[in-house]
Amino acid sequence: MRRIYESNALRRDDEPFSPTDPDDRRWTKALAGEHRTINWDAFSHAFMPGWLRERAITVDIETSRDRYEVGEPVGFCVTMRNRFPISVKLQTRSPVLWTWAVDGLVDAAKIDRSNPTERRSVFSFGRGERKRFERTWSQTIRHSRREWVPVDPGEYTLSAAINVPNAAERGLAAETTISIE
Amino acid sequence: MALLEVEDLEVRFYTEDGVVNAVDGVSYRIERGEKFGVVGESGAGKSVTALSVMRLIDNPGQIEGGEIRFKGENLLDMDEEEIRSIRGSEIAMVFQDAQTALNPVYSVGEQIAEAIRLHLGYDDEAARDRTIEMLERVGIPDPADRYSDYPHQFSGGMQQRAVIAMALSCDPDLLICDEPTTALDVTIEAQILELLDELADEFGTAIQLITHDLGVVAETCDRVMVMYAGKPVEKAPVEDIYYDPKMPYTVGLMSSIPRIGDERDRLQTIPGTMPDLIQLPPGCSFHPRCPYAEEVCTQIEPPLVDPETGEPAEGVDAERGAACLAYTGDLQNELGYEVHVEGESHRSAVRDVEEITGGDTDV
Repeated sequence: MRRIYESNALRRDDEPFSPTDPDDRRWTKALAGEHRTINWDAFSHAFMPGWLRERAITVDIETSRDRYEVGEPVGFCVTMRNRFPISVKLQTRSPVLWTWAVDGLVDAAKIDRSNPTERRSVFSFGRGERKRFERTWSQTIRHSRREWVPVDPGEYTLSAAINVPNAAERGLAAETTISIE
Repeated sequence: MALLEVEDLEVRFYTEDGVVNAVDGVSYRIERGEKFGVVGESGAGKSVTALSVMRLIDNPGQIEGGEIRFKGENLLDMDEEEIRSIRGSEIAMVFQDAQTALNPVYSVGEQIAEAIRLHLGYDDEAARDRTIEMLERVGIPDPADRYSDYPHQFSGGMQQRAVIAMALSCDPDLLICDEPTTALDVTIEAQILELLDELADEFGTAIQLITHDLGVVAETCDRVMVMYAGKPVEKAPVEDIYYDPKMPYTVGLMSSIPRIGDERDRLQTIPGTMPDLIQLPPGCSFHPRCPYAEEVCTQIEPPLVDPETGEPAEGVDAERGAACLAYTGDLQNELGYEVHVEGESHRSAVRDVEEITGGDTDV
């Protein structure tokens, strides 16, 4: 059986790099990555200094409102963006790539599970990539494995950070304040 | 010593979106020749539990805690070579979708023979003979002729039989069946379940049957564990689960079984869906869907306790346990459902005539 790409039906011109030109192997080599001048993923990871990578990433946190009633779930959105036109990778302290916190309590819990293992990991951002994560805080603080306690009315700071040491100082964290009435 | 003991198993998946707590504190045991059922909705952690036993959890998943003891040895301490010698020969698995489990470019017979050659050390001829014997045993007609057929030449039921033949080919002590009948129609389902039952009795193989069909569990299993949001919420012998369910989620699952002669217009369902495993609700994970939930259910996560005594039942050996604050004395009101059982033989009666009704609310 004669296949469509073995016929002349797809042969449109004799330009170099034509994907249908069986004699020109440069196109297929290019597709296979042989002719790519730079693998930007590997390049940025290997050569871009840490401080520059950190400059590339922005972190933002926002809630739909500033004030909530007692017991009302607080929905918030964490946005991270790579401002650079090349991919960027950040090494994190554990496989937990980022964390959120209420008044500094990660996952609104007094038991910190943000670094369950010593195994480091890598948080990758494609060029210009924007990542959005949605979470809801139930207005409770987890005191132990099995116990949650509702919070009192007042002001609370919601924060999000990429899981690297001193994230706030390195510009890889953000926070916002809400009021519970 | 039990054949398999899973103790306080914890499995997490580290994704970009967050940490998925797929299995959290699961403990159970399976005796030799026993049929143990694991039930729950999609996303309850049933399959991840099974894959952990096979040590088939891959990145970004990680077994983070607990022990999986098979014949007394912790599978989590074994190196890859040791686990490969157990996987397939002593613990075998029947996967949900046989078409995906079979390699499309090898003949069915060759795929079964490969396992036999690898684990039992048979030569080509002997492996072929045993394959044909196994294909015949699982009910494939003309097994010698079908040996060289490719998976696409088998029907869905035949593919599932071939996968069962492959799993049983090395005479394993434990067979893990992950929803083996989900992709099949009801007549083939009945045949496959009957076949599994028969083969388990014949070969003395223990079965861990994962399903979301409580009817299947009633017909096949001796003991059952109900899972919800990665945690065990009820463990009991099959009769107790059907005649005396203790956890509102189990009650909801039971009332979801359609019954012949039922005059209701709509099928019963449990309102809502399984919570996001990245962000479980505080307290009891089932409370947003539970008709009996009180405020305390949003603040305390119930441990698995003996519903009669309130004593902890989280260990491997616990026969009966339910995770509900009604049994720890924390709930103000009682669970308001009633179980009506009609008929004599539970195996035949369970599916059709048992009726579970909620108190004030539909469960």
